[in-house]
Amino acid sequence: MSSCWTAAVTGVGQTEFSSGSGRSQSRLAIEAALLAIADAGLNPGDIDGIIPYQIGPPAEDLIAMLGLGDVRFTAVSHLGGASPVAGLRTASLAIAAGQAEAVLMYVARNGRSGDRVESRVTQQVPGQQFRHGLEHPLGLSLPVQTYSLMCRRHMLDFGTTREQLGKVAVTMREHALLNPHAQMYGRELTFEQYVTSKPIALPYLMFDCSLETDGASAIVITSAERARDLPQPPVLIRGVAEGHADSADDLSARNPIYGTGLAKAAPRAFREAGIGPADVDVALIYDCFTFQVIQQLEAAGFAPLGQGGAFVEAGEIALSGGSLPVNPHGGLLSEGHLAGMNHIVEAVLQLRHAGGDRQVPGAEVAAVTGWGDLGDGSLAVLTN
Amino acid sequence: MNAELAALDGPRPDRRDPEIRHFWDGLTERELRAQVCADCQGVQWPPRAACVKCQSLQLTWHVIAGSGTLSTWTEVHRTGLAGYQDLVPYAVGIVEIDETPVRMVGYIHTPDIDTLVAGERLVVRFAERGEGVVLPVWHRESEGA
Ligand SMILES: [Zn+2]
Repeated sequence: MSSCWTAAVTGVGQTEFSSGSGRSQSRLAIEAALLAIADAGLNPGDIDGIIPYQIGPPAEDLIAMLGLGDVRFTAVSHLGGASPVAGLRTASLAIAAGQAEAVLMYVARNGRSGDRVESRVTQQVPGQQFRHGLEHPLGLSLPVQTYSLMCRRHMLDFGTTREQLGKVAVTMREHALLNPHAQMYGRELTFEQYVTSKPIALPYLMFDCSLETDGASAIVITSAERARDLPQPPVLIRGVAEGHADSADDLSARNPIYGTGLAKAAPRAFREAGIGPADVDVALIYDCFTFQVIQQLEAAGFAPLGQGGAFVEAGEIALSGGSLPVNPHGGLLSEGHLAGMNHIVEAVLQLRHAGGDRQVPGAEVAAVTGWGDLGDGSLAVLTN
Repeated sequence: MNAELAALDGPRPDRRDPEIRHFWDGLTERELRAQVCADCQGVQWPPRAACVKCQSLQLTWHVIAGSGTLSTWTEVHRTGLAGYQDLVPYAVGIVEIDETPVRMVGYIHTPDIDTLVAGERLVVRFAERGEGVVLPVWHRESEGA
């Protein structure tokens, strides 16, 4: 099964997450990269493969700054926010094929103080001719608007409620209060504050939206065999898959509009890992907006279709008392939006049992989802 | 009628786009048009360089109904689109066109966004934008469209 190409995450590193880094994206990238390489117990010169994010500093910048004489593998996984998780597979395959021995992946952005994430996303999503020719002239342009179209339809079809959306936001914030690294650490969020926050694109309110963040996250991947000789407990990449929604480059033709590539990717990833959704101890869900957590809980198989809202409302995603703690770090909603690279970092910390106050006791299996480019989905199953 | 959109200084479509220009050409003639495959007769939206059912490259355009039902919508309070910033809050959503399997993005004109309901009847009207651009604007039957 997957053992023939099992790789491991051996190092993680992150800068602080803030609303104003005061530094360039390249500087953020190199800081996180150096932390991840040191965490892995490696030297910069050991890196021979690089997978940058599709937006931000390219591989060449890191090759130069790390002083790498002969990087022999680079690739970009171009699935928007589903890219970091899909990149775990790209890295694993490169290592299994002997094309690289130590692969560095990173996301670095000044999402708050520089170009806002949402405006860059608008320019990066597929089907640009549809966006510019059939949507922008009619008043539709931002991710918060298109994602709210999905949310509304799900509410109509299944009775998903405002209270359930709010429960996602409040739960993510409760988790962030246990994470000193979170952008929203120390800032409580009540349901009352949530429900009275500014309307952005109804049904989405301000607190339905993830954070615009300055910062960087990086990880280092090696073969599982090599990882055993490195200082950190290895986190094994057991299964990874990507999937694309029907009408992959346009939402108008997608029916139901909340269909996602994750529903196709998740069974593949779980099958490859030989592990099922019921075995997962902690889930890192790509929470670009509140409803997208509910949507992905269903698509990944953690809750039946239409039952994601009730699952959340029953407290199942909470660290405290939930059957499936989701995003102990606070997620994109309350830790920061590093395109989900921070979700992979959190999964690694949880599986090392280094989660501090937010540790899921005894976590052995983590699932990480990615979501991007209108409907691309990815899922990784990681174990310790 | 549609004075607010007629005055809009918003983004304009690229009329040179080989697929999408036919949609905008139809609007200047007060027609809603969709792409039809000359080989399998499948109607498709959005318009593409190939038929998604049979991969034929022989694609034509037909007039479709100027009426439909509301599938989903968002009430926009914040936008980066020039012109539309003066219109917030406004509604934009997905309209299921009558008699054809076409679902398209539509601007929905209503003074009363709060009362929009899924499945309600909509009728298209055309708003002259000047310089050869005509916008499709969906009005509510319940408001006497
Ligand atoms: Zn055809």
